[in-house]
Amino acid sequence: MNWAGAVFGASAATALVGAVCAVGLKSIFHNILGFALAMLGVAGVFLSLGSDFLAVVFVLVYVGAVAIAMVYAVMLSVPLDQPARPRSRTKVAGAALFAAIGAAAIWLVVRSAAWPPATGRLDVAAAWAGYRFLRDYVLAFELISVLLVVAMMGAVMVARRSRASAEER
Amino acid sequence: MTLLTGLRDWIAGFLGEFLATWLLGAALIMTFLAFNVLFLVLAERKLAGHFQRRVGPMEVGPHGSLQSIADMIKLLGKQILTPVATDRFVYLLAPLMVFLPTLCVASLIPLTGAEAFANQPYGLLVIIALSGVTVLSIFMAGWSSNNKYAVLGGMRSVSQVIAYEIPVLLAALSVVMIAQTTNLRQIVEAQANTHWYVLYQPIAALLFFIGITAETNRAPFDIPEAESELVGGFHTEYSGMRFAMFFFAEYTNMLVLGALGATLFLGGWLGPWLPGPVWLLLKTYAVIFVLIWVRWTFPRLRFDQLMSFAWKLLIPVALLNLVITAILVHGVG
Repeated sequence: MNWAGAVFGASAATALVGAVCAVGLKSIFHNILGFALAMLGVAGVFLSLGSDFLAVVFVLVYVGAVAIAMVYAVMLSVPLDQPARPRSRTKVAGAALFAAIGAAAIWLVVRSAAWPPATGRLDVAAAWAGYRFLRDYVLAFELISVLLVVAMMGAVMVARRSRASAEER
Repeated sequence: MTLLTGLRDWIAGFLGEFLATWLLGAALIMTFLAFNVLFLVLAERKLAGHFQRRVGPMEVGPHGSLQSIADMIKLLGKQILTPVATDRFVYLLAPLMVFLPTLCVASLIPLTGAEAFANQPYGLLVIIALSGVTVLSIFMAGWSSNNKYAVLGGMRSVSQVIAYEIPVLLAALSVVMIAQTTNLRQIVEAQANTHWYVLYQPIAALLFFIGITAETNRAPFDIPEAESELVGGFHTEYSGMRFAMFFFAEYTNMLVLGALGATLFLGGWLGPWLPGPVWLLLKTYAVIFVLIWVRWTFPRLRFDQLMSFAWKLLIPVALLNLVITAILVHGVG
């Protein structure tokens, strides 16, 4: 039996099931769990393709950090014992439209690129990724850093303002 | 050892060499972890007794040494209750899931420098990534219990882990900078050529220790399960073996993070006379002894104190330590 193929299939199926849960289920907490499952599945796909480093980073960032941060959204959800709020039709339609546009864009990119057959095991090693980030893609890297700093400053400002208004009251 | 190889060859007869080795390794690790929890619970209770000038459990076995086994039998026999208003699927999934990441991590600690599965190029990253997943099941337990104390405990756990994972990661990163690898086996081998990294990185070692105290939810950082404020925290609604699974995961997490600390800062399996795994265990239990000591010595922090301590003190110090390490490693060499 081809182990890599079996792992790939199982991981891809996990990712799809997780994605369906993340979008389809009613409770926001179940959505978050679905998202975490989908990201684990994607990490498994990377693992089966031999990119250990990317797989680890996926678990570290998406499951360990993003999904955990999403847990704060639970604060905005309705309690368990109350009926879930019905979904707005227009919002669902809008989300579907944007998802379709995104999928079409990815499909076009996939179609237009030339995909040479893999020559053995290609691991995106940490040292190689770091080298590329600080040489070839340094502009994108720095832009993302600036974006993160802005986001952090925004978070601090929001927190300060809400605390100040709470003290006035 | 001949018994083990014989057993492996026997399993390999119908499953193949590869699967047999991995299955046997997993079974050995699980067995060890189960016994380790029994031992640690007893050690915790006896040590807590002596730190507080009591004697601890004395009734079962000589000097209370069989207390954990009695406790285990009690927990196994206890009725498992499921409250009515829970989110049933998540409620049942949480105690099963909480143990998985810790188990995966336990197999990645190098014991002798010879075994195959601990020789991963990104071993340290895998361990840190997987220990971040544990908190998801803690929050699953808290939220699905549909109990306000449980939700509060889960919420506190999430905030705490997000805050304290950063100094742990930065402390581990300063070790990676010196060793120039994230492969745990190579980190230990690098310490064989120089000294234990606790001598080069005392601040990082201290940060790491404080961070793992918080990540294992132990006093003075045990606010997710603060008994006097939250009843039992995230596991308030769990009973019997389901509760025991959380307990099991917590003590196993202590062992794994203690072993990681011993590997990063105390030279892992290195040491004279005794075989490697014995040295690693001795160092790990030394770390755990200090964890227990701290727990029964310091009072619990308030939630805002806990957050300020991480964000305003630990993280800046960790960043500064990292910058100084980078300058020393690349400037001085």
